[in-house]
Amino acid sequence: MSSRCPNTILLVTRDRLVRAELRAGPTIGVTDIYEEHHLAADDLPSQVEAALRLSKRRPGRVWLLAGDLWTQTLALAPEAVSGLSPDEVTRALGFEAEPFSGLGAMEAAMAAVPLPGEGRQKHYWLSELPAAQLEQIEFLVRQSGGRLMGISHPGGLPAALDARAGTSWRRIELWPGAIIAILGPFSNIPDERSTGRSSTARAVYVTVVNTEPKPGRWLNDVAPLESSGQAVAATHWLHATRAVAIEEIPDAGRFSLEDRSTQEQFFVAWAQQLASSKAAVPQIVPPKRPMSNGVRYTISAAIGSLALAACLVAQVFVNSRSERLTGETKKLQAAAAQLAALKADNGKLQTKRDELKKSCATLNSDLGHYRQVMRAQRQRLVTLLTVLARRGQEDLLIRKIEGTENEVVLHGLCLETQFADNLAGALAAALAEALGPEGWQVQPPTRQSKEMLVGGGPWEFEVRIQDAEAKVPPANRLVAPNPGARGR
Amino acid sequence: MKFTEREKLVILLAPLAIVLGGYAWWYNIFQRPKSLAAEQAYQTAVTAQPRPIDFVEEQVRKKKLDREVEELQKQKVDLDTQAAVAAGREVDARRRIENEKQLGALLRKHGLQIVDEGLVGNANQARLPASVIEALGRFGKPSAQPTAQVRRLRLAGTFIDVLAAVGELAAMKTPPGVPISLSMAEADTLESQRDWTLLVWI
Repeated sequence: MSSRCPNTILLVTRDRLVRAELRAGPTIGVTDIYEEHHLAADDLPSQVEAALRLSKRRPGRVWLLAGDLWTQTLALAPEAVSGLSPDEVTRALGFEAEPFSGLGAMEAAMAAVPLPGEGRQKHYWLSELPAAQLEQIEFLVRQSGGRLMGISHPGGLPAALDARAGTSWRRIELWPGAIIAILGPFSNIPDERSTGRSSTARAVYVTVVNTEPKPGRWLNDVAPLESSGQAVAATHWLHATRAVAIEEIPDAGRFSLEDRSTQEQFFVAWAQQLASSKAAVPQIVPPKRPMSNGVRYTISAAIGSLALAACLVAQVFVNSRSERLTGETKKLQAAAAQLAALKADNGKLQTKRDELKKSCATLNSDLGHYRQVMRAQRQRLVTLLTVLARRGQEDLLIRKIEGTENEVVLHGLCLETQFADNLAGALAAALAEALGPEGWQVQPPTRQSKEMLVGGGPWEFEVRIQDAEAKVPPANRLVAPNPGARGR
Repeated sequence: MKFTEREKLVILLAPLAIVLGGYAWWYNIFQRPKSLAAEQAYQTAVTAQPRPIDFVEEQVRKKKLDREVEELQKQKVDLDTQAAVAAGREVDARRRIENEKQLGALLRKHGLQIVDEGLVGNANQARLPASVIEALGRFGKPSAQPTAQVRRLRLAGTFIDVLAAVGELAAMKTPPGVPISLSMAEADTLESQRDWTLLVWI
């Protein structure tokens, strides 16, 4: 399989076919030049096809320099092109050139560039060829695997072939069917195709004479070109047609496309010019081909795929956001739950504390009550015995004490009933003072007369002292006489 | 096949429209409710988000409550112990023997002669005064087998001796026993020596 050549320039004139292959990169250079002088065909597309076949390598970008391109410099009144776009100006030039080129403006593919000039006329350089040929050539290039970038006339290269040319030079080129004079660099040329600002670097003035250079007579055609215009430091000659013998051209400043080094120089200069977005030569660019159905389907599928990819990306983003939100929500909810749990724990602790407080208060109260009861319990007997000890022996006689856990019963004798009452009263007062409400309760004494004395005495009495909390069943009480009736 | 400009445009944009339309439908039906729910849940969670100061406050409160509960538990244990001691449930045998000895010495010191001594029974409700039982009842159900005992002491001595002994017993801060009841047997009037029966809760 043959390798691909990135840049190819085809030079097709009536007496030569040249295919120049150039390497891509920052420094343009010629890698191969293939040339054929005996042309088998006479129409341009066939010549292009033959030129493409000069090498087996598949071309990449292809520029065609065709000598059969009709090219001419024209002048128009400024008012005629005022307000027109560059394409409209080109079309207007096509109509102007129609009588000279024989090509109908509507059937021709054309390109034009403005030229620097002075005076009342605006000068243009126009190139054109039949649109059908352009289509054929574009097809042939595509068939060969390349892409047609543009078609120009090989004459009028807006660059000096001699690196020592200096600031001003003139070059007169002899091509099959045309004599072209280039004056450069020109001082001031408006670049109407782009910004309208001056572009002095490549500004040249071109004059085209559509005349076949004839041996011995071409100098007459060149004379007006050589004498007109501004003075230049050097005049160069480019010999590019075999119709004129090279010996007819002056030796000084002569270049010939028969010379290999000149060819390389020529093609490198053209490659630089054509690769530039601001080429100063008219370059016919093939119209953009309508999209094929296959390409359309492919693009459609690609757009659909891109949309699908965009949807997937959007979905991934949405999912990611949802997951992030869910994660954040869980974190926030966990924090809230943690706080709620903490509050619940505190609530339980508070309840526990309150219960403990209540329990302690109850226990404290119960213990206080218990201590009071126990103090009363310890004081009971001593209080009772103390009261009994204080009573005078003359008043009454305690004969017996019957004690149980809840009750003390004093059995005794007294001469008068009030003595027993006094004893009960004294006991009640002393016990109440010493023991408080938790102590003993003294019951009213019961008495029984012995009927031995005048007043009924002596009296047998019984004082019952009961625990405050006790529910003692009533004892076999003595019949209580009416103190008022029986006592003193 | 040749297409009109409109058909070309449709061919070019149909997959795009189908994909976008399909995704829009799918998103609207399935994804949007989920997204909205997630967003709403997040907003709700943000609104209900506790402030850091809330945590600090609750933690401070918890520490305070923990401290209070711990103190109260100690206090309760102490009170329970006091209640148990009061109810006689923690009186051990050695301590009881000591109390008996101390009580006997006290009685003898006041000239009382211990004629007889014996165990009445455990400190069940039947042998303790009702006020004591009521006070003990506040501490909860008494132990099934209390170790404290009620002892019966038959004494011989004068009224004054008994009064002095009972008086000292009442005055002691930690008495060896609590007198429950005292009985005096009937005797000759002129006789100062009497027989006494003292029930003591030890």
